[in-house]
Amino acid sequence: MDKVSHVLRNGWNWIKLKFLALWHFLFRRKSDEPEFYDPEAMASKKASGTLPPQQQVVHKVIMVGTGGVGKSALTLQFMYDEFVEEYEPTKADSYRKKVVLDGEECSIDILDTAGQEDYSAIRDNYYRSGEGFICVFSILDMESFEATNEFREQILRVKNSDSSVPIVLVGNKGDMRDQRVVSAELCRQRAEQWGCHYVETSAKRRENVDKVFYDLMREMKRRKGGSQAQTGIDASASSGRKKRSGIKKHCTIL
Amino acid sequence: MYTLSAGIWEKFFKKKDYYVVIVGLDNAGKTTFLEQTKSHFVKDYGVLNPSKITATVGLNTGNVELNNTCLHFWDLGGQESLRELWATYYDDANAMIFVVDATRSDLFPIVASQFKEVMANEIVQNIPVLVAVNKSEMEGAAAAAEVRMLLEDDNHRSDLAVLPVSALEGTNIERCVHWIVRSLASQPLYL
Repeated sequence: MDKVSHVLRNGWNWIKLKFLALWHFLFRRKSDEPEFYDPEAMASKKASGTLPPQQQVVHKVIMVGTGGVGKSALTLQFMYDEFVEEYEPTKADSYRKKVVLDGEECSIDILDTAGQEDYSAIRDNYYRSGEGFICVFSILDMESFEATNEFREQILRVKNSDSSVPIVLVGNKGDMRDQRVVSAELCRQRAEQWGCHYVETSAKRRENVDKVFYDLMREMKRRKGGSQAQTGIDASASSGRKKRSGIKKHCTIL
Repeated sequence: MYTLSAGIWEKFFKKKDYYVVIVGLDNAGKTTFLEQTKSHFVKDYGVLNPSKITATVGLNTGNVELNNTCLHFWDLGGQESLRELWATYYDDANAMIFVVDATRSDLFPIVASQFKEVMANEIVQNIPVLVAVNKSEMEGAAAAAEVRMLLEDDNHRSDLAVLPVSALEGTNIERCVHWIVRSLASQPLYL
């Protein structure tokens, strides 16, 4: 049975690849990229510095929350569709992956922090580098819910009390709702008080996991887009955006 | 017809080969990392005594088979004079492991500049890179997040992970290898 599913998956991947190649052949050939390697053009491009395809947006996300609430589980489930049953305290891992958000390519950089130890001096340092935060608690554990307030205060302190920092409040372990201690009402109240989204997830069953990251990244994109429009850098990028959306249309027709 | 069916058979059942280069400063623990990896994934492997591992001249190799993939590791020497040779191995590499010694915070500026140099290579920018923060079991070791701050990877377009490991005790080694296998097969997420 395992073999069969493996073969099917492989077959499907193969067909997908062929279709992609065909699609690439049909629609992408008339791009402005030179067909052959042209050292002069390459040199001039390198000299100009920021190439539109190389210049990519990186969204820096930091996972916070007390130990054992499922920060790593959420991260791994989101990135690699994986759920690890055994618990192993994190020491702070960092992952980066390419994501296509609304038809636009960008990268997501996730710092999965340690929940249990109090590395507070270093913590300030890496909170500073974060652009968006996911504040995780377990709906089975009142203490972890209470701690979210502390985490938020810490974030705000580092971010100079800028209360518009994108934060998403996440109640994890939603698959065990029947044993819940923190009521949904309470969670919603806190989210309202913070002025952010509240999402209830289950890393185990992959419920709402994508939604958490999607909401946050959109928020971050909006913030960045706003600041970019003000300084007025991004003419070439927006044209690239248009091109991409055109391609996306093709895709849906196909 | 034979060729076609043989091709299809190969497509589905042949093990995929990937080449992984292991780089890092001297004495970061690259060879120990490789030895530990081999002892985790190769059956009946007689591990080298870590105290007997000396500076690598040239390279060490190791093969690890996992599910349907075969990883070939190239552990390159990290001495200053040998670092120029790293670039010659990138052409065939499918993934990279960059090992950092977490206890030597005095070397961090060199690590940062070396990483920047490695990342300037166009091939490296398109392959998954794993930064193994080694010796994390020792007292006074820097956290992975701290090392993360050092690393500049603005032009990197593939996956990146920074994980604390202990090559001596073998913690997190399996996670590293699984991450490499996963990221070799991974595609961008569509949201």
